[in-house]
Amino acid sequence: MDRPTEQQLTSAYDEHGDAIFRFCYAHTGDRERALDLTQETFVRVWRALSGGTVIERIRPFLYTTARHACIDAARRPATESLERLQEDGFDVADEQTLDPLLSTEVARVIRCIARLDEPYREAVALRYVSDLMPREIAEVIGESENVISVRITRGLQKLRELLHL
Amino acid sequence: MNDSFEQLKNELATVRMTDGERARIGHFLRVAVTTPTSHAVSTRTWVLRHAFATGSLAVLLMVGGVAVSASSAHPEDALYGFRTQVNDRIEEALARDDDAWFDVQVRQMERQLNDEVFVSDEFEADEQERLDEQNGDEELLNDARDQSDETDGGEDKEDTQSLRRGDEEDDRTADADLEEARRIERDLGDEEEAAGEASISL
Repeated sequence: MDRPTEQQLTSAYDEHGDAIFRFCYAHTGDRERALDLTQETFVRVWRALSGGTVIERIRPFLYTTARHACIDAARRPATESLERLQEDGFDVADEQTLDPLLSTEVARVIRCIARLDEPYREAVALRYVSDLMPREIAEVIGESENVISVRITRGLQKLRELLHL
Repeated sequence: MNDSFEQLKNELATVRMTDGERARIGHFLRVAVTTPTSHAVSTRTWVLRHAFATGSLAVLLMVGGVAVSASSAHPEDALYGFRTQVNDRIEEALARDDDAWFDVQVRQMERQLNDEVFVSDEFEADEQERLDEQNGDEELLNDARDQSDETDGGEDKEDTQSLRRGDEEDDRTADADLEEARRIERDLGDEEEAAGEASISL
């Protein structure tokens, strides 16, 4: 791959890596899966760049790719058995098991966002986790701005119910 | 309420990868970027990919062609088993609702009835053919017998005539021998007579 393309990918990762990770984390509620999906997102971007795709605006392209990666991952069948998880120390009954790297409240918010139904989850995640404007979210999801605004409003209402705010 | 949520939103912005996690993904991407990838596919890979696709397509076309050919197969046809075991089962599986399934069952029952009529007709045809053959055989046998009687008498005549000719030849030969024998006796008799006369004179 030529140097400009490599530099484009590297700079995109440096600038938007954490934001993509946050989005994937809000979508899945699981840190490890979010890391895998972040890596998958940038690999797909690299494939597009190496394939000759000209990306004029990298940020919407990254979020579109991350969204597709999350959707594909959700469609894949679960490969881990509950028994194996319990052998690794996972306690099904313990709902307080949260990401130790996050504050309790933030981890709780992340988990509640992940529990939202689609299409509200991704709208809320893109707006309040990734801090995208409704216009940008409309471009990523492929819906009109009005539809996005309605989804964000309804998604926030459901999130408040889950957070008991 | 909104202030609480805004506060949460600000805290959410602090969610990020650890340095180790970032480095891990960054290293993976650098390896992926520097690993040479070629869009040119080796000939072997191209052939294998297309062979698999072509082979799969050929198998699908063959199965589809067999299914189409088997749809009108009769009990004596080679594809009759394919029709009853495959086509009919597929037809049942594709029935979307109870009405469609019922229609499928009616069609299959009609086909089975036609199959039985076909088998019955075929049996009758076979039986008739067998009888015809049997009758034909008997006629042939009778004809053969008739011909055989005629040819047998003629042969006897020929044999008799042949024997007669042979006998006649034998007779002629025997006559010739007898005549020869008499001549010899005569000659001997003449010689003895001559010898006797000679001795007397002495």
